[in-house]
Amino acid sequence: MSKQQNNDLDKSTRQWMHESGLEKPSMDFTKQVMEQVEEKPSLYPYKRGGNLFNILMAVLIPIAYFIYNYMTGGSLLPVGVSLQTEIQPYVRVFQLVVEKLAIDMSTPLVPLGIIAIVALLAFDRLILRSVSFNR
Amino acid sequence: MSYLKDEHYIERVLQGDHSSYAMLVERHKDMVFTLAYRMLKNREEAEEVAQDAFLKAYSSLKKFRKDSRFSTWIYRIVYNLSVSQLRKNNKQMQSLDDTERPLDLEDTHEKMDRLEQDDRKKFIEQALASLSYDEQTLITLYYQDDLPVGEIADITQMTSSNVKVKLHRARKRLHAQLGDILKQEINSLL
Repeated sequence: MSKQQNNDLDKSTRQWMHESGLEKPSMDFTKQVMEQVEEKPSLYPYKRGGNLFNILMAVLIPIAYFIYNYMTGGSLLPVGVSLQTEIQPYVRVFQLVVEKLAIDMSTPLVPLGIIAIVALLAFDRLILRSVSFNR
Repeated sequence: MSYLKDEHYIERVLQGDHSSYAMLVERHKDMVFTLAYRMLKNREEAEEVAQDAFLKAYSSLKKFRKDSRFSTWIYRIVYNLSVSQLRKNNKQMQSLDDTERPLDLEDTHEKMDRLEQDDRKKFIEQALASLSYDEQTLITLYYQDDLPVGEIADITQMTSSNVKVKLHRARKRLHAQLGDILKQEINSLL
């Protein structure tokens, strides 16, 4: 095949291929992809800063709880709990721990905190996500 | 509206704004779908593979090397997924007709010039469909997306010289098929 023929072949192929255009996927293709992106947070490419923070919190919160008890003159252990647990019935120890937690959580700040978290979650799911998706 | 580069949206997605990814999907969906469709020859499968390619690219966006273009990267993903799908389907991966035939370029060009654009498009699609999946990929990337040979080699994991040889063969085969189709069409009209 001569160079001229090759050039003609190249030119006409380019022209015809441009004319024939690209195939189009379904109208809601982008929407479908973005729905899957929204539904699977495991796909998120950005670093979710949660892991290290959660581990630290899981360790620090109990420590902070005991320090707080100690600093405020309370015992490190719930009232009635002795370190010599082997001579106490385990059910009683459990009961005392639960009672202590219930008393600590009865402050009005706890239900208020829970209500705030639920409100923020609802705001994110119902308003923010729909707004960001339709943008 | 100003035209923002792909890198801008990638950066935004990586900063946590995943809705910016919609812009990248919107920008590249036609080419990604076309590549999948030409290889798989089935709209539903092509749509599924194209969606998978975008999801895969999304979840690996952090690994995306900024020294190449996002389009090159997503085309490579869709190409690999389509090849896997073809293997899964156990489909014919080579063109049916491997014989070299003499080309009557002038005759084919003359006939094509006389056709309406819609008919030309229809016959080109028919001729393309008879090529092997890699020939179709090369033709699509080179002539429709105007990609350089080096980038096509990167997408298809072939050497540049191999791309050139295959492209040349694909071009000739496309014209030969087109010539046959036009001849048959004229015969059926007579």
